[in-house]
Amino acid sequence: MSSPNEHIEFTEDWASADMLLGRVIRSPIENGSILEKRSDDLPEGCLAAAAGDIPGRNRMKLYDGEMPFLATDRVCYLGEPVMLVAGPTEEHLQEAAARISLQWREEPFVREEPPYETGYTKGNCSRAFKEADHIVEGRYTCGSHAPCSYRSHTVVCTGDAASGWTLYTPSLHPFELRDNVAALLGVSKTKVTVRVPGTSHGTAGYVSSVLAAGHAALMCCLSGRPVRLALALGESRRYGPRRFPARVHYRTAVDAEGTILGMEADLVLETGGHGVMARQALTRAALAACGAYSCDNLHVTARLETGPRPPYGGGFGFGEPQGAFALERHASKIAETAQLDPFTWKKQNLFRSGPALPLGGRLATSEASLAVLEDVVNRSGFVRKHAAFEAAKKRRRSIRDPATPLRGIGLAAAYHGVGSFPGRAKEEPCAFKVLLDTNKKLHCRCSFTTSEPAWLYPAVAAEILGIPESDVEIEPVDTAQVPNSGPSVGSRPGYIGTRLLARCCETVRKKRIRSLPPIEALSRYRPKERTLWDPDGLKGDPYVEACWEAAVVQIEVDPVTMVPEWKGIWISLDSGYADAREKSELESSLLSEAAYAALKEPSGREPVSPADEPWSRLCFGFRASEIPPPQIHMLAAEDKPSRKKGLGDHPVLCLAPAYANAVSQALGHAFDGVPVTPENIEEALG
Amino acid sequence: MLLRCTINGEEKSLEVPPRKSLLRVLREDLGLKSVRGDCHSGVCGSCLVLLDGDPVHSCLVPAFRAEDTVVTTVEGLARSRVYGALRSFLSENRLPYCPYCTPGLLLVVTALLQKNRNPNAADIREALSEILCSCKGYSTFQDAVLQTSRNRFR
Repeated sequence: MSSPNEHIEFTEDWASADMLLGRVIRSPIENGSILEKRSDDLPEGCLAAAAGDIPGRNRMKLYDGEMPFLATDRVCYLGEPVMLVAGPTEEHLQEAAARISLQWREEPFVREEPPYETGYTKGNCSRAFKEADHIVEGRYTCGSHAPCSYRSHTVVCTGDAASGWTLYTPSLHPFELRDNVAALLGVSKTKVTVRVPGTSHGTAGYVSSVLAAGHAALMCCLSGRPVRLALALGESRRYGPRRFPARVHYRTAVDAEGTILGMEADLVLETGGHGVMARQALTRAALAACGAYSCDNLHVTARLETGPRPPYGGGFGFGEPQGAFALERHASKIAETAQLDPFTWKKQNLFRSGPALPLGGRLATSEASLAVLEDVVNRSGFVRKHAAFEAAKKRRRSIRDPATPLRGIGLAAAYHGVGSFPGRAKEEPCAFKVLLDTNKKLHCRCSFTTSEPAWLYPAVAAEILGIPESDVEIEPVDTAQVPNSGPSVGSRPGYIGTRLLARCCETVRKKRIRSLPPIEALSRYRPKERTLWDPDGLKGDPYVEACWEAAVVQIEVDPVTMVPEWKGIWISLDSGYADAREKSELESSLLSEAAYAALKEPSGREPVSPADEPWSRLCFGFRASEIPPPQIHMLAAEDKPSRKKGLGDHPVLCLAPAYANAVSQALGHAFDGVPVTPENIEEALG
Repeated sequence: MLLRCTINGEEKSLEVPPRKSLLRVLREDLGLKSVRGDCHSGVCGSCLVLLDGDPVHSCLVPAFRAEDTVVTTVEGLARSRVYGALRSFLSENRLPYCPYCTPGLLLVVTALLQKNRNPNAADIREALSEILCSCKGYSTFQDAVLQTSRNRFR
């Protein structure tokens, strides 16, 4: 057996005699004017490009926002791309970059009017507050979050005006990327092809992957030579995607039994320099303001705020994790006020079948909420441990007593949307093709680029066509060869992809009775009217389906160092069909979320010395041995792979609030922001 | 300076600058592309190789430290029985071979099983912690190692 790596060539290793290497020259200031951009006297064979060299549109349009590929005369965030340079070798590139002259006038950042505001009212909140026995209030904050990925981001662009351009790049939405690059170059979409090789994984997410592809394509177009643009890991992470930081203010009216009578919520999401994909995240977060709980009287206001940081770019939960954190911390306070343990309070207030989303939208399978909650509570022994830790807290003399362990256990429950579209569903294409060839091998063609297709689609095809999983091939994503299945977000590859594939397989199964292979089948997703989400009018259902989850985290804080040690993680999910392979993948997401909950955020600035930013640990998160193996249980209501819900990034919404609840219990102090780091703890406890 | 060592079973003699890392020698001079440099700070594990059977982060090791040692990358594991068994497990379970993290995971597991014929779950997890895997998680690999060690040493 030979080593598979012998046959693998990473995109970053691709080379040819005429290939140029590219680099992005970024703004070192947060806000200000560009007084001068000069690129005279570049070394031979080098090239520089600025906004004025763009032959087409210098705007990247992504769903509900847009931003420039290169700054023209102003910059509005740290690290904003200003110029590009290309050269035949690293040495040429370094010299060319050193000869670029940029003059700035730094200006203080002034926050203007919110770029977007929304809100809604349901029922009569003022009456609810008048009738309340208790009013519970809290302010919650969430930091930005980058996924725990360590892969550098590389784009290669080849081609010319006559034959068209081909981009080799990681992408979650290859067709959107193609359309934006075509507009940048001022050519038709048919002139640009996007291929997503298996060796081009990156960390650049939604916004910055399109930026990087545009930059490589522009240099290729201007030079007439292939260009390889590699963002080093540090660069990719500093200017790459993050979760929107958030601030949430809750005021809740509750009766003596702890039932929510009314709720006022005010949400603010920070977008960074440009609010790309932010409206979608904000409106979904606003709609989920009362989360998994019944509430007849609601008043919700929500707005975006810009800031001088790289655009955060949506992703990693579309506003849901921030909302879930705030609400689940708040729920713990309500339970405490009502003198109920968190589980009892949740059982009383969780909505089940019947109640709808605040504005009339449906939330499918809401009966699963109680099942996942009870499952995780029973498996973790939450009720017994919570009571024991409360009793121990009352007995202890001092929080700093080295002989007394500080133990806490936290519970959180939430739902997350499945099968969503980041734009308006009606306008989104979503197609899937299969081909059964003469060797009876099934070829799947779609533009989904996450990991689910590799293990889930063969199982779906095997279920319906009765062929071995090994006879199913997922073809590489190439916009010239596969149909547009839409973006690989919101669990779509798992939820929508499996259903489209199932339909294709049914067609093949029927055709196979009358015809011999090759047999082709195409299926398109046609969303139902109710699933059309209109973020501006807050109308429709933001998600096609919901997946419920509940988490318990047990921690022990060292009374001397104040470092919380993770002692146990239990997660229960309502996942439709359950597959062991997915459970393993979830572990990676959990490690990433644990970092969101507990590790200090990287500063985002270029480090001057390694001591400035210990980003390796901060960015990568915990090592596997620092976190106990999570006990994940998927409550499978379905036994067929084609009924999978698709979990995507989401099944970790509850980890951060469960962790903060656990630390709050252990220390007897409310920690209402993530991350909860030892420094935050020391500061809070004085 | 002259570096003499055995790399993947072949004796090598190379002229290397004193400050050049083992990672760069393996990748740039010997073309062993499975050894990657991503974090360059000994955290991610994509540069992991075995030096006399012990896992090391080659981005942090100066090349001269490899003098008179045996260096093994995943390319050199091809004839190893442990490697074959683990690859079969991944293949049978339709788990994709990730070129970023799988080489390092295979190397640490090989090193572990050479020293401990019957590792428990905690031993395996500790060994796997050398690699930051952002795709498959660790449970699958943990199961693979447990099964491999049981089958191999039963």
